[in-house]
Amino acid sequence: MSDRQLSDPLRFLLRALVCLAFMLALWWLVLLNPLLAGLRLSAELTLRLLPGGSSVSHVTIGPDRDWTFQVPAPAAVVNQERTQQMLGAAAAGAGHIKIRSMKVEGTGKYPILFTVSLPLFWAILLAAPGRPRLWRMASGTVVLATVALLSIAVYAVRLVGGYFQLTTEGFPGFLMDSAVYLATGVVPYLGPVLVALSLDGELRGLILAGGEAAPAAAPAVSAAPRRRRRR
Amino acid sequence: MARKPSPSQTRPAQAEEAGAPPRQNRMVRFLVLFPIFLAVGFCALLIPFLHPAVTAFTRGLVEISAIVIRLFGGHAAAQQVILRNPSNGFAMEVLDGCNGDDVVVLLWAAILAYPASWLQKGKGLLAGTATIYLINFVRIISLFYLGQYDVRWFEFAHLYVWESVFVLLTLTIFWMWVRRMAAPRAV
Repeated sequence: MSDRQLSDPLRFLLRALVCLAFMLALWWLVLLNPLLAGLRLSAELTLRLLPGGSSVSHVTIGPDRDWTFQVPAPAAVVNQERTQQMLGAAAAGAGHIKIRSMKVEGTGKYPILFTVSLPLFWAILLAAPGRPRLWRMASGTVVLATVALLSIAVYAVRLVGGYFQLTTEGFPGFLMDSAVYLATGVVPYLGPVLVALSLDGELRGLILAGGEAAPAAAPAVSAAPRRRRRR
Repeated sequence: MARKPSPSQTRPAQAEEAGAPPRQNRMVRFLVLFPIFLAVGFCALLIPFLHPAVTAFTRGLVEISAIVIRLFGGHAAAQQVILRNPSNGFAMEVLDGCNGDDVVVLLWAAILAYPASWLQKGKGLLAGTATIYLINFVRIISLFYLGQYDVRWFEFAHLYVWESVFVLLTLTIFWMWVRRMAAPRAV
């Protein structure tokens, strides 16, 4: 393997690492709070679209960055015998207990994690050969922000499930565990790469072509001026 | 070891002329197969049936990390998937997502989906996987020391820096493999 063959990927890696360092610093020091505020607002608006959620849904971020979701209580779960027992209906002898909404709290670590895809995505686009295109940055940012919102939704569902001590066994449990695993451990890191490669055709072509065009084109370009000079 | 390449090996463009599928078709095939292999890989990681194997691998990773740290004069003990410093009580748990399997699945999906011979794919899988796991040792050991220095920096490096670096590294390894495979060989 010659240096020339290695140079493009390694140059990309070095550029990407430098860009990543800058972008992570910018994200952590400047952009994180506005991004979390935007995510909180989007999550709240999404929750309000749920049935019965228009008046009761609230999402707040505490001073320690922990998140509190006030969400409409799912009737199907609340009406279950087990949930009623948990709520104390049997002990109080009050019959059927009804609740409209519930509050669940979650650590702030995961919502922050859902936004880390943005600095990684920007670093990849800035490190890619050619001039960075603003529309690619903007559209990729929108896509990843939407993915972050979906991840927040998965996280909130998990918190609600944990509150009601819903079972994590069987196929539904496997699906839920898989969704949480993907949302917290895979999507924040793989998402930016896939979105960057989807949007940046030049980078995608360069990686997938594996330098097929370059070696063939190079001698033709360098040979042509020499012939002209001789004439 | 090195054999003189046949004319068809020297330039992929010539192979296309000889009747191989055109480059665009191969790329479409890649773009279709890659997400399928990626999904299969992550399903394999998540299936409860295979979970003991993943955990056993993580345990081995922790054991080797402890041995490497001790070889260089550090204090470390492995206890299942927990790496502990007996002298100050610091301990960190290496979870399934921290054992490098995620990025290995990414690399394998990309290499298996890419149009190449099985020999080339095998070489890429071996070399790429070995590189990723080797760097993952560096990651685990660096986090072990960083955690003893400052837990906040540990969290930052663990969740944001190293994971992002690994994804970039995987992309670069794949790119290098494709270039090496496609480049004309010296005669």
